[in-house]
Amino acid sequence: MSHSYFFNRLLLAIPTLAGAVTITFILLRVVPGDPIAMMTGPGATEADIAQLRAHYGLDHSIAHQFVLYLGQVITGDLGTSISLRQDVGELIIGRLPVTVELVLIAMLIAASLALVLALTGTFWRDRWPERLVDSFIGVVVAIPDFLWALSLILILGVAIPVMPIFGRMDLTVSFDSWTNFYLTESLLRGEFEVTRSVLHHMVLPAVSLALPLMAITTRVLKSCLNAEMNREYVTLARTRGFSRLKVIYSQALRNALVPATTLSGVQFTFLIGGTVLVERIFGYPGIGNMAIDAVINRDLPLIQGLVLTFAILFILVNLLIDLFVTFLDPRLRHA
Amino acid sequence: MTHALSINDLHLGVRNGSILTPILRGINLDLSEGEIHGLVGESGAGKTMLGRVILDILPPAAVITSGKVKYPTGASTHSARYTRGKKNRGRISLIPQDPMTSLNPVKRIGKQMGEILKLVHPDSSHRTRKRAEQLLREVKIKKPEHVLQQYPHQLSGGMRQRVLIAMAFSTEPKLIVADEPTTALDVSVQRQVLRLIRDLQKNRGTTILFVTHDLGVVAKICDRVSLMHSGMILEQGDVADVFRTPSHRYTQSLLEAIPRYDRPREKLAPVAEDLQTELIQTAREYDQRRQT
Repeated sequence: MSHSYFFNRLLLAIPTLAGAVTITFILLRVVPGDPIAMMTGPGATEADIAQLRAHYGLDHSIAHQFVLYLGQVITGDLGTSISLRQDVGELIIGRLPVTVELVLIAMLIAASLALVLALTGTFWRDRWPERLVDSFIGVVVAIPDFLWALSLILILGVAIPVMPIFGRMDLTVSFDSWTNFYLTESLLRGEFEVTRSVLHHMVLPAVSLALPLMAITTRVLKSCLNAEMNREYVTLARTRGFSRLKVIYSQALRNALVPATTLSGVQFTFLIGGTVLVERIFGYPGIGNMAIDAVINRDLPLIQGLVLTFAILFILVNLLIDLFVTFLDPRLRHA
Repeated sequence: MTHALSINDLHLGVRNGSILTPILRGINLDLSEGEIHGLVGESGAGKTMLGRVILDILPPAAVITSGKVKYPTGASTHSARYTRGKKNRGRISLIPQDPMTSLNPVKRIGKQMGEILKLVHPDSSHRTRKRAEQLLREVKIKKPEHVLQQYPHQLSGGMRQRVLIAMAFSTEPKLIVADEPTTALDVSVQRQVLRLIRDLQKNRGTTILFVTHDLGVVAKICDRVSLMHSGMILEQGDVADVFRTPSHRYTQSLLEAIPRYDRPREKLAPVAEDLQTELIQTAREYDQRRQT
């Protein structure tokens, strides 16, 4: 393994990002809807509209707009939001921490549950615990995250109202955040009342996001583990008198994690897609929620900025996963 | 003479739904202490399954229907899964067939050897390491401290097999099952590995059940030999006697099939097809007799 490998991976991210920028730009110009019509009232004159168009650069030809936009993106300027009239970059930076914390917690829940379930299923292979895990996973995998969100709201928010179902924290708690990473920052600053409230509000959206991801990860990890258990080196470990549990966690697990982790990196796309609906349902002030508002308002610069952000997140997460996988498997290091 | 292992009228079948297919049919096998016993047979003869019975790593579907395996430790009963546990820990080792898949790919050699050594003999990491180095030296690996730092994929097939042999001997077992340990190696490495196994065995007085389908290998290193077909042992005896005066027609035809310098031939002689069918027929009749 070398630094050049990761440098190359970073270089490869450039065409991906360029593709994401180009495709969203084209798609947004093809779909019907006019941002200027959305923002002006019925009494606006032709001259007002023309002036607004010129202000947002929408009076140029599409090709010209694209070139202008590209130039801006490269210099780090994502333009001004049409509906919120603020800098897109600042808007996203402000809301991004909300989603990042939510997604990380969801991934943590998904990964730990998947690990426990996959190990349980492998340890009691062909017996009732494995069947139980399989049927549970079968049910969970069939239900998408937004349905989980709605069901959880009905059960734990309405029928037995023990969980908050709206917003990021209680309105009674006030927190003057510098970074907007409420969870991390409140922990570091020792304001545990805030941490408690943020976590309490995070449970339902994070679980809704985690469940489908958990189900797929469990399936992959369990089948990888079962495949490893049939390998020669595991048989040898058995002849040496390692207990079954020890064979699973100290021999097979690390090998099985390699393909399973790689696959969950691909699943990360679905997790990002999930935040859009789930944040909306729970009134969670992250970038997913923001994306829906941006689309409703035909806020072209904001939508573009958000898509670019999603693409960067995806690339970053997969880079991290690659790093982790190379750490797990020495063969990838020396290749 | 004391037996390192004795198998008495062992029958084993593999369950598939409600059907039980017989695999081993009345195996009798006594291994004397310190002998290398060749177990020869073609694919499907049940050699590997017999080895797995001894190692107690039967697949869940395999069922011992009757008979007994007696270990010198006194343990004798058998069921399918992980029963050996601590009781026989380190007493019986396996030298596997394929060195490429038999080492854990994500762990350094030193770590893998250490795990085994510590399982049988808990000791400080430093001393375990020294012990591992010593073992690697015994299997003629140069620069053992370097090899201990390496991952399996950085070693050649021959080196990996040496490491696996060192691992098999590391727990000082009374009995080793060598499951075609040279099949995956090229001829020159094969010879070195065979000599290595024999030397280690002689020094330590280990008993080895040497599973193979290569009669040449048997002639080279085994003291006694058993010939298997369709889950039955057809002929058993001292290697010299069996090779000089084979009593079973199958053995005769196997020996006939070996190409020889002194008797050049146009074609290789296969084992006659009617003999094969006859042997399978015998096995079937045996099953029927047992059922009634």
